[in-house]
Amino acid sequence: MTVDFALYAADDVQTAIVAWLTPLRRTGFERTAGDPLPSCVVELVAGTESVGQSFSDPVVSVHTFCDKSLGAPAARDECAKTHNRMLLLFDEHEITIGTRVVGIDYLEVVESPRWEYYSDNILRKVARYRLGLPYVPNI
Amino acid sequence: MASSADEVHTILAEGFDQAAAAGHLDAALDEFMAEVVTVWQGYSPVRTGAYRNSVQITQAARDGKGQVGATSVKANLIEYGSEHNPEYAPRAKTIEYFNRPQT
Repeated sequence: MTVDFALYAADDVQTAIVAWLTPLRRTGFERTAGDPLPSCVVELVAGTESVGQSFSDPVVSVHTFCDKSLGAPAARDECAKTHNRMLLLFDEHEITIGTRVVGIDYLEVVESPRWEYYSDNILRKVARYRLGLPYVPNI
Repeated sequence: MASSADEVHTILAEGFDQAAAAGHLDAALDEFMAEVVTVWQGYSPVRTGAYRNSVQITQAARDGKGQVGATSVKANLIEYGSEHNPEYAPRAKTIEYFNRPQT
């Protein structure tokens, strides 16, 4: 039995942003208790998609987790690095994942980084971004 | 040409702003905010229902301005997640619901 698929679709934004932030620090789709700090998690929280226009506009949350015992200034600096790395996508329109290149048409800051409670031992900042991802051929 | 698309847009926007500031659109705004509440509650996780029920019009329309919000003390934990719960993001989902392309 054969199953047909669409020839074009948007790349997975979570995978792309995880790859983009990984050179900075440990980054993943979710956080597990005991994971080393600092670390980042990328979550897909919302977004729209237009098949007719072959375009996807996902919104992702980027969480930066830091060891509270190292103090708020250290956490602030780590979180600033995350945001600065994300802002680079305003000018850099490609994310390379192995041999695949993901195109980024635009970046918008939906919510600037803000402190949000996570646990008694971990400081966290969360920022939200909207990215424009064009449909590309499925490989 | 004396006018352009930008000028037409500016004239329409100014007319809209003036009507809103005069309170002429308040009834429509209240109606829209009620729709926002319905969508937001639809995206809300429900265990006791306290969070979902806390989503309401927190400021009725007046002179073109109003406000919808979640008044639960757990609102931020539900929106952004925590060590004990996922990031449900009902507010973000609601915003995107109304931002979706109208095709």
